[in-house]
Parts: sequence; C-alpha cells; structure tokens
Amino acid sequence: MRIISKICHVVFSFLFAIMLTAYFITAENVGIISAALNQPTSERIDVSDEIQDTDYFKTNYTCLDDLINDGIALSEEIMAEGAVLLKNDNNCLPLDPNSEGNISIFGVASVDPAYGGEGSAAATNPLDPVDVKEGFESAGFTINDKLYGFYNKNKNAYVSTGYKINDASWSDVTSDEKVSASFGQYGDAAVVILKRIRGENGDLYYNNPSCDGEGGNYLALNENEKSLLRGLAELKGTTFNKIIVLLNAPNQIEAEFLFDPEYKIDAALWIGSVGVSGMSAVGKILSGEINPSGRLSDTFWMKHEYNPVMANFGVRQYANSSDFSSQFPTTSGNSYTGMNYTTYVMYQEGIYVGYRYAETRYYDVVSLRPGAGDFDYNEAVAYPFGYGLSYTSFEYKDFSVDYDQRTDRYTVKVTVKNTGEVAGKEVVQIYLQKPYTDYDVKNHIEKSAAELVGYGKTEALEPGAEQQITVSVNGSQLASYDAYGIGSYYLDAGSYLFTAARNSHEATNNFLAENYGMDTGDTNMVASFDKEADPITYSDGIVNLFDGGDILRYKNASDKNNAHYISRNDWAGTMPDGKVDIYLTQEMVDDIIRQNGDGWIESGNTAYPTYSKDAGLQLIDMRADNEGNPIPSDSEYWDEFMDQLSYREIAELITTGLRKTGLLESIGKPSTVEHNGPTGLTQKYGESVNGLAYIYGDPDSSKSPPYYPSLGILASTFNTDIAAKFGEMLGEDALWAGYSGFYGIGLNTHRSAYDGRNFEYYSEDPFLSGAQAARVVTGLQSKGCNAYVKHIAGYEQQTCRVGLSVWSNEQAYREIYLEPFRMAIVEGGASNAMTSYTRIGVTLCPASRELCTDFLRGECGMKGFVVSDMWKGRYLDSQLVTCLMAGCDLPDSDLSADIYDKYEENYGNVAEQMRTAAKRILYATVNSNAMNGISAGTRIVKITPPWQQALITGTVVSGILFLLSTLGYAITGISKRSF
Amino acid sequence: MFGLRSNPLSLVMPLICSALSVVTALLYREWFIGSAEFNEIAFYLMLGAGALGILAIIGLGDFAASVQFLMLLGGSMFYIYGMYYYVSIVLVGIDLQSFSTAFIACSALVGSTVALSTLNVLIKR
Repeated sequence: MRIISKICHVVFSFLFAIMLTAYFITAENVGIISAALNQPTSERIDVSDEIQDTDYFKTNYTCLDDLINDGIALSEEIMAEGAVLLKNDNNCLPLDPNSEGNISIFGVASVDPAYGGEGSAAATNPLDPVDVKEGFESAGFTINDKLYGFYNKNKNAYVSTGYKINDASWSDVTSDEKVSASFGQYGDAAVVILKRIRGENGDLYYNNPSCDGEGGNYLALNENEKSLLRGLAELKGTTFNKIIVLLNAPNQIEAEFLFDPEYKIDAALWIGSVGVSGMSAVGKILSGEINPSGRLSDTFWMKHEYNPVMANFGVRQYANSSDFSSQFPTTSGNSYTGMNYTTYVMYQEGIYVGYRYAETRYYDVVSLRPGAGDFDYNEAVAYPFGYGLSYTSFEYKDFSVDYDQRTDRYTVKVTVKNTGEVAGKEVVQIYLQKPYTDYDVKNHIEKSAAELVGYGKTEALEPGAEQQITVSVNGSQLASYDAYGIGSYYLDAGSYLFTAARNSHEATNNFLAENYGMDTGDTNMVASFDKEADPITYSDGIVNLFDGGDILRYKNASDKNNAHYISRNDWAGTMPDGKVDIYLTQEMVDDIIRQNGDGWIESGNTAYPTYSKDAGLQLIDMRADNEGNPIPSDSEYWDEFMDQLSYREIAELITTGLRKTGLLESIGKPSTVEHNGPTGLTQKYGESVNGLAYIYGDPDSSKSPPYYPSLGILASTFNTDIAAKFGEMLGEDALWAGYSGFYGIGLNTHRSAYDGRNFEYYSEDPFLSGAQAARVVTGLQSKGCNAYVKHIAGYEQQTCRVGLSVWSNEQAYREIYLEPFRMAIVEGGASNAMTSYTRIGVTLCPASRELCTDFLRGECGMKGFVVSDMWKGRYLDSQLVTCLMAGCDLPDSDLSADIYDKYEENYGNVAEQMRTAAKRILYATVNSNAMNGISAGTRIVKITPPWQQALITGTVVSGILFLLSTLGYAITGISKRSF
Repeated sequence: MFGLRSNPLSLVMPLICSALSVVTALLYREWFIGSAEFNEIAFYLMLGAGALGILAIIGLGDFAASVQFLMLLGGSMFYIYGMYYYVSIVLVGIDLQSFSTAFIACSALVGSTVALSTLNVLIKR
C-alpha cells in the first residue's frame, strides 16, 4: 500500500507540474499556437442583417494552386532578370543544348544549392524547389549522372558546416574511377557551383583561423575548391571544352580567382540564392533561352581587404571599458541573452560605401587630386556596381537632360539600340556627380564622384530595335547633407553632371572625360547644370538629429578618442589603419544606463486623456467616412474614437506584440498576425485562421508559399515593375495565409559582404534599395498587408548586434543608411517600421526619439506604428516605457500590461504617449486586410481555443489527482508509523 | 511523527540530494544571473530543497524526501519556464545553432536533482 501511494504521489506530482508549466508557457503564446493548430482565438458575430461587401482587399485568385504557380513563375522571372553575367570570354555562353549539351556539374552545391538563407527568414516548410538537375535538364542539358550521384552520395561529408566551407577536393572527386571516366562523355562544359550562405545567426568569417577559406576568409576559396578548379583547368581542351562558374551566394565571393589564368575560367554568373525556382532560369540563361540582363547591386571586390569598410567591420570594446564594467547590469555568458553595453563599431568610411569609395578614389587618383594616394582600381575592383554582360550589345544615343523649374525635376532621356544578334534587355543607369568644393572641405561634406540617381530598363529589344528610356530625377537629389555646417540639406554652388552609363565605372569615366578631357569615357553621355548655392530649398524642417551618433559631435565623448572619417580631401591621410579606439566617459555610461529604466521620465500633474467614454464607435467605423473617403490619422474623429478605450485596454494593446497585434473586443479590433522574413512567407498557407486558404478550406492549405531569390538579385533586376509584382505577390500570399503585416522590407545597407543577413537586404546603394523597395511596398500594401521597413537603423552586422553602438556621421546616416527607409515610406507609403537591435551612438534604436519620432514621423510622415525587434531575452521590461516615450509603440513580444500600472496616476505624459501608440496600431489595423469580413454590424468575441480548454481541464484534473495522491501518501505514512 | 530511519540510504540520499541541489542552484545563479533565463523562484526552490537535508539528519527523512522532491520538481518547472524561450530561439536558429555549455550542464544538473529526489521518495525506509 505504501509503495503504491508513493508511486502515485510521484507520478501525479510530475503530471501536475508538467501540466502547470505547459499551461503557463502556452498561455504566453496562445496566438502562435492557435495559428499553428488552425484554432481561432476569437469569433465574429454578425448582429446586422445588412449585407455589405466587406472584402476591402480582394484577391485575384480563386484557388491556391494558381497562386502558388504564379509565385513559382515569378521566382524564376526574378532570377531571369537578376542573375548577372560577370564573365563570358570568347562568347563561351550560351551553350547550345543540341550541340554542347552534355555537361558535368561540380561542387557539393550541385546537390545542395543555396535556395534561401538561414535564421528567422529561412523557409521552415519550403515547397519542393527546382533543384540543379531539374533546372538544367529542363533547359535541354544532359547532366553527368555519375558525378551528380557522387555528390549526392557524399553530400553530408562535403556540405558547409559551421566555420568550414568544405566541399570535395579534386582528388576526392576523381578518386572514383567511374566518375573520372564519365567526364569525357559530359565534357562540353564543366560547371562549378560555389556556394556561400549565412543568416541571422552570424556574420561570415573574416580573418578567422577556424574558417578554411584562404586566410580564414569565408568569401575566399578554400583549398578543396582551388584544387577542383586546378584539376578542371588541367583537363581543359582535352576533356572539358569550357569551364563555367556559378556563384551561388547572396554575399559577394572575392572575385580575384575569376581572373587567375591558372584556373582557365571562361564564364561566370552570379545567381545569389535562387529561391524556389530560380534554378530553372539559371539553366535557361546557360542555354541562351534567357539573355541575362541583371546588373550588379553590389561591387565585386578582387579581395575584400580593398574595401575600407573591412577595417571597421566586427566589434571593438571601448578602450577603457573595464574601468566601468561594474556599473553595467550583469549579463550572463550566454550570447543570446547578452545586451551589449561596451561594444561598438565605427563607420569610419562615412558615405564611401561600395562603389562610392572605389569610384571616387579612382576619380581622384586619375585626376591627380592632391592627397589621393596610391590606389589601383583594377587591383581592387573586379566588377563595378551596375556591371553585367549580355549576349547582345547595346548602343546609347540621343542623350538629353531637361530641367523643369516648376516641378524641380530633371528628365533624362536616352535611346538604346540593340546592336547585336539576339534579343535582350538593357539597364540604363543615371549617375550624378556633385561638385566637391572648398565649402565641402571646410564643412566636412563628402561627395561621391558618381552616385546612382535613377535607372530604367528596356523591354526585350530585338536586334536592331530601339527604345527611348526616360528617367525622372528629383532636384532634391542634388543636395547633400551638411551636418557640420548649416545642419541640414545644402545645395552647393557649382556644376552638377548627369550621365547615362552601363555601370558606375563607366559613369565615372564619362565624368572624367567631361571634366578633364580624358579619353576614358563618352562626353556625349554627359549633361551639366550650373547651380547657385542654396541652403534653403531642401532644408525646410530638417535639422541634425543624430549628433549623438557621431563620436565627433556627441557631447559626452572622451577627448582621448582617435576617431576621424575618411575624406576625399586627403585619402592617404584618412584611410583607416585598423579599428578606431573610442573611450568611455562616465557621462556616456550614464547615458547608456539611463535607458534601462524610467527614472528620467518626469511625473506631475499633466492631464490624462479621456477614458471609457461611450461613443458607440467600432474600429470599422474608422476605415472611411460617410462618403467613403479614408479617415486620415490626424482627424479629430480619432480623438472621439480613442476616448472610448480604457487605460487597461490601451496597456494591453501596446504590450501584445510578437508578430501580431492584439484583440480588443470593445471596439471590434481583430487580432492580426504578422509575417517575418523578406524573401517570402515562411509558414504554411493554412496556419492562420484569418487566411483565405483556411476560410475556403483550400486543398493546398498545407503547402507553403513560394520563396524568392535573395533580395540582392531582386535589386539586380533594376526593374521596378518586377519589384511591384513581387510586392503584390507577397500581398496575395498574405491574404491567403492570413497575414496583415510583413516584417520584411529589409532595408539595411550592404556595407560589407560579410553581414550574415545580406540576403534579406537589397544593395550597397541607397537609391537602388529605396527605389526597388518602394515598389515592393506599394504592391504589398495594395493587398492590405502592412509593410514594416526594417531594421532601422545602422544594423549592418550580426556580431554583438544587441546593444552594439554604431558610430557614424549624420551625412552617412542620412544619405546611405536612412535613405532607403525614407524612400520606402515617402515614395512607397510604408505603414510601419521595425527598429534595430543596435544603438545610434549610445542610444538604443527603439529608445531614440530622433529616429522613431522626429525622423520616421516628422520627416518621412510614417502613419503606422514602430515595433521593436524581438524584445524578450534582449530588453528589460523596465526599458519599455523609455522606448514608448521615444516613439517605439510596440514590443515584438507579449509582455504583461501590468508594466504600465505604475503610470496610471501622476504620469499623464506617459498616458498620452500610450494612447498615441495605441492609435497608431489601430490606424494601421483598420487600413489593413485584417478588416476583411468585418462590417459595422460585426462584433468580435474572444474565445478560448479548444486546445487551451483541454489543457486547462487537464491541469485541473492533474491538480486534483496530485492533491489526492499527496493526501494518500501522507496518510499511509502516518498509518505506517501508527500501527 | 515519521519515525526513525530504518535504512542508511534514508540519511545519505537526502544529503546527496541536498548537496546537489545547492550546487545546482549556485551554478545556475552564476551562469544565468542577469539574463532573461534566470528564474529567481527556481533558484530559491533549489536552494530551499538543499536546506531540507537538515531534516534528514534530525530523523525526518521521509518528510524531507517528500518536500525536497516537491520543491525540486517545482524548481525544475520554473527552470523550464525560464528557459523555454531560449530553447525555442535555438531550435528555430534565430540567434544560435547550438545550446550553450552552461545550459547543457545546468539542465543536466537540474534533471539529476529531480531524478535523485524521486528515487529518494521511492526508496524503502
């Protein structure tokens, strides 16, 4: 009896403990679990007999099958227009599948290519992709099956793991005699696929001895890859006719090897990560069915050491951080949890990112500018920004630029003629050169020798056909940010040159030809406009916001710092010679720690807003007025509406995040589900009860949406129509999968090729990023899915990302890092934004009023809300109100509304900001597809989903059993002693 | 009320259990204090369970075993509650691809204390 009671006691104790823990953990994640189980957390009750059309955002599809197929086709189209032909010696490509279609594909990526990226944006339930074999065979090629089989069989031994690139060496590949013997039969071409991939969980390795790439460099070749290329080179001309390299990497592999005669490489194609069906396009590009028309969205360096950014990539500890370590909250040794307080990176290059450095330095060296120093462009740059080959050739003519003073716009026209023998598309790039003047030198304004200000892409032109491309450039693009002078945008006096060019280097050469009479370029492609100095026109309402992010301007900076920025006024004297040393001061430490709490917030007698006033309004009433016009966010009507909410309701709404917004029954606000990841939706269509797939019970609900090539490839299309189509397709996927928001307009800059998340971002160039993203946003939001531009701002590396201090200057912040965000909001209309984990100077991005309020709302006019990046595990609850007051409206986590209890009295200023944040969330929701199906007569009621009901029941039952068994155990224990 | 011990294990087991609980609690605190994964209730329950070893010495082994078991079980549940988010982050690969050594070691210790205290309850006295 005693042993039975013991066993019962133990078993039921375990059961109760497990059930109780499960209850509390799942209670924090009801939304996500319910979505995964297809169980609703609310239901809609129609209390009106009136029939209304409540499909405010309509789909163009009647079933998922069609939608998925169109998405797969779009993924292929993006690759078709975005893949960049880097090298094509002796017209090696295209290969005619009928006469040279027997090919051998080398590299473990032949069986394990990079389809997407890693981390939170990785496809978790991907559709079956078009693999290499399928892609090439569908293009008409016959693949060496023995070689393919070798890689398939040994895949696990050769795939990249951790720090290692791995892959099979030449001796590994040729160790199997049957494989070696097969080469002759498939010798029309050897195609080598080189793969590199990372993601949110880390940067690519640079100078890391654990990495097997040359010099510990993940973007260099490793010995196995080199031996493979050498082995193939030895067989070239005897066994293999041609050697073709596919760079299957969103990040730019060092391209020096493509020029190495030892490897005898004939052709190279950059394909990024290929998405669900990009491999079909790759096969067709090789066969000539598709003529490549992609142009590089990033510079391909010979070696990344030539990129001045690399001197300051990664992290550095403040030189005297140990003196202050006791003042910072203790963090664990677990890197996931660690908020960084003493690490920083300095963007010492200022605006000279990517081609802005290479072309400007080249321009200054060639034009013999004093202090230009020693720089060999051809040694540093393999392929410039904007570069890309075609199977045909194009002639540019009839270039003109007209200025319309009334609209302050420049209209650039150029006619493109296909002078080759096959049809093809051409990208026309418009570059601007601003004058670099004494005023600039005096006020530390930097100017790039060439910067992209517009582009256009032709239709597929048949041989001999022509098309005029027209590009409009806004006059504001001529101004530069003058942080140290007038503290706003300034139009300098001097000559402003426009050119139409095929890439950034050609543009620079055109400018050299125009300015110095050199025979480097075509002066017929240059137009010049003289301007007077103008400090007024473009500075209206804009002032320095980020002095605190510039270590040369930050008021509490140490005088021991050795920081400076690169300047074209003295290249040789200002180039980085290692990471910059910055010292902490006590005031800096105070500024950092102050953000961990709310002690700085003043309490007092500020009036509280009105609460719980019955106005009889539902959220749907805020969608449009009686005439059907949208109600603007600054309408007084919103005040009346907001007066209805209670303090608690507001607190709950602004603490319910984690890829969603919360339900508010009283005003008929539905909960929303937001997606995370820029290259396509990563969850299955049927996972949300809000989606059409679930509502219609579509037979393909268990499938996942298509995923797309890395965004660098989308940028390389230089095609805004494709960008808009991509956005619209994401919007359709969102409608069918039940998402009302998309944490996925990734707009951080490709400052370096080593950022693990580069596949989620567009380009090194802010204009290209912003212009493509603006169209994606427009397409996406046309389907009622709110765009979240992310991660604003200064988030160009993964290492020590949480709390990392980023030091740059305001010109670079505005012209490079914030410009894509501005364009996506101002031109694309992006509703929402997600902040970065990093700091601007010492200020956490979600705690930066300058960023979240002054810039996003004040300058850009963003109407929706700002969400932090993942809150839990990074930020402290005590930081929530600090972020709220800065303008970050919602944490990306579910937090307790109790955090706001202490502000219910004596903090009218906090209450007002809470109300503002809630209104922004409600405004974004009411203008989203979340309102589909909701009419004036709809009431939304919270329900406990069946899984949670079952869990509660189980917990109660196990609790009773636990009590009974404990009682029994005690009684038998007493009995044993008594008798 | 629960009488004298009739089995040497009834003294040794609670003491081993107590020692292990204290070590686990202290290491848990050392490794995770200040992080979102650190749960104070778990820490105090483990520490409290350690202190219960004293009851075994004064002859309340049966009672000590039972309470120690419940405290450690509760502590482990709070430990899991504190850790689950970290575990989910690692599993989906957002930040980390593998669990930290501290997490693995601490989890093994917590599991061991619960297993030992379960045996302590079940042994015959």
